[in-house]
Amino acid sequence: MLNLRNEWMKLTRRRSAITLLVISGVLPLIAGPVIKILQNKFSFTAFDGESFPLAMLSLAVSFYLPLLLALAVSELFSGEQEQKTLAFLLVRPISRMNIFKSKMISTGIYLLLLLLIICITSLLSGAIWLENFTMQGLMLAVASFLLSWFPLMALGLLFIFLVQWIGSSSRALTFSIILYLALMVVNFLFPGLARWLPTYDSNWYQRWINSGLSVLVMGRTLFLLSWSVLFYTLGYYKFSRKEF
Amino acid sequence: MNSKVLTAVGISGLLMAGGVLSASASASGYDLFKTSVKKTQKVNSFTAHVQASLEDNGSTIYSVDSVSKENLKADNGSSNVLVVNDGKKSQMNFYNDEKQTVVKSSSDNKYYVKQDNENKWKDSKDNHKEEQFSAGKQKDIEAIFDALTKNYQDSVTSKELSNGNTELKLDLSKNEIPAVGQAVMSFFLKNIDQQRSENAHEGFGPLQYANLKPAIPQLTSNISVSRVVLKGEVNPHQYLTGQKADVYVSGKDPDGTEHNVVLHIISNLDNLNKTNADTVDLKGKQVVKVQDRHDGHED
Repeated sequence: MLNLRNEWMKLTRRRSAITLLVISGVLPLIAGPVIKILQNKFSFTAFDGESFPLAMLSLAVSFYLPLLLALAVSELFSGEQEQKTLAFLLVRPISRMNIFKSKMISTGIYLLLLLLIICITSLLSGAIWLENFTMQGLMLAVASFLLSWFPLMALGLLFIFLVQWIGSSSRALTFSIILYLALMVVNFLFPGLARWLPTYDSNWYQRWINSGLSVLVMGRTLFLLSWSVLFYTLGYYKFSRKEF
Repeated sequence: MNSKVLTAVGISGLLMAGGVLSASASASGYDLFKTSVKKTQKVNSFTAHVQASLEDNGSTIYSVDSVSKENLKADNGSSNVLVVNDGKKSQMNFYNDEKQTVVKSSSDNKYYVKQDNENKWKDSKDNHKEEQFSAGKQKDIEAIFDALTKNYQDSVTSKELSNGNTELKLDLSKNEIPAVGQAVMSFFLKNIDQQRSENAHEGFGPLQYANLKPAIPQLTSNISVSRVVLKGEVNPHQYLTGQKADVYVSGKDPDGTEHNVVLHIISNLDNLNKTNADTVDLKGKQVVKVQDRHDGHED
């Protein structure tokens, strides 16, 4: 696709992006032996090879990945506007739709890459250091990591839509983080309202694992898909009308 | 906005609402559970039939069967407990009222009586008063409970039973059980030996706790709680009359043998607000008075 390569380069060639990818891989590798030492010392088993990758995932989807996602979105949209480099892109014979799409897809691939890195390293770490690592646990972990892409991407599309109004990457990042924290607070304090937000589904891989295809899971899937469509449309609408 | 965008927004908004509403309609079990717990808390008397058993690789190593009649208003109660530990049966009867606790064991003909001293009785009465939370406090507790169980509320399913009751069920697989639960359970199982020796000589009258302790296999590695199933039965008057819990734990002993330990607990409440506790007439019976050995340490 036109421009996709371009956007992908912009996203991953930054020094911060490479550092973050490395950190994402190293953290689970360190967490494994640390947990092993603690568990041996106090003689309990909170995490074993089966549950360790899922524990890493639940930490990643609730804190780490939303922040990285906000960072990527603010770089690709507000950052480029701030550096005034978008004008070069706009004069090329690429439609705004294509520019918007390629930016969004790059964000999606970046997110998937992060998930895969954390998945592989936490599986490795769990297999090396912790007891009870099984084939079933491995399959479960891979499926869970892949499933987690959807609710995170729905959140990412909300960020993409909202940062269209912000012309500086640092402000866009700050805004996204505060927004995410607010969503988390709503999620905890107002369960009725939380059902209307994608943060409600941050651990939806658990629903898939446990109940498979139920009415609940299908309802939430429908919600996430239509949420994504809604903010993709609104985001593109705003992007296409913008003066740079 | 042009009409295309409006259409897309409209349709996706409608689908979103459909998704949320269908998802929340499917999980109403949690609210019923809360209502029934609140209602059941207020009963004055009940008969509870509790059965518990512990299985190790399919064979029952321990079971308890008890029928308790409790009258909270009159502050008395009685229970009949049958324990089968590794094939050995022992039966006990407990009678307690505001002044004393009487224990009768099947191992002899004596009745062991423990007087509840004045202070203790007063304390327990005060505690009892505190248990009736004020409305505000109850709301706070409910909010905390809601927050703690947030991840599980959706998973409570409800089903109509043929006897008119509603069955609520929460089936948690290994990865849904919080890490704290896993940690506590594995810690308990790994350190079970020490606990046993510490309590070996304690008891109440003829009851040596050591005899009543189940011989749980010593697990040392690969310990995990693999499944927890909780069930509740709510009758048409919204009382929580039945509760059932199955806890599955697996692990290996020092020889590397795999053990699947399962704990089943079933509790049924009956005769709500209509129960009178059994009493015992100690006249002409062999009575042994028991002193509480730990009086000095209790504070």
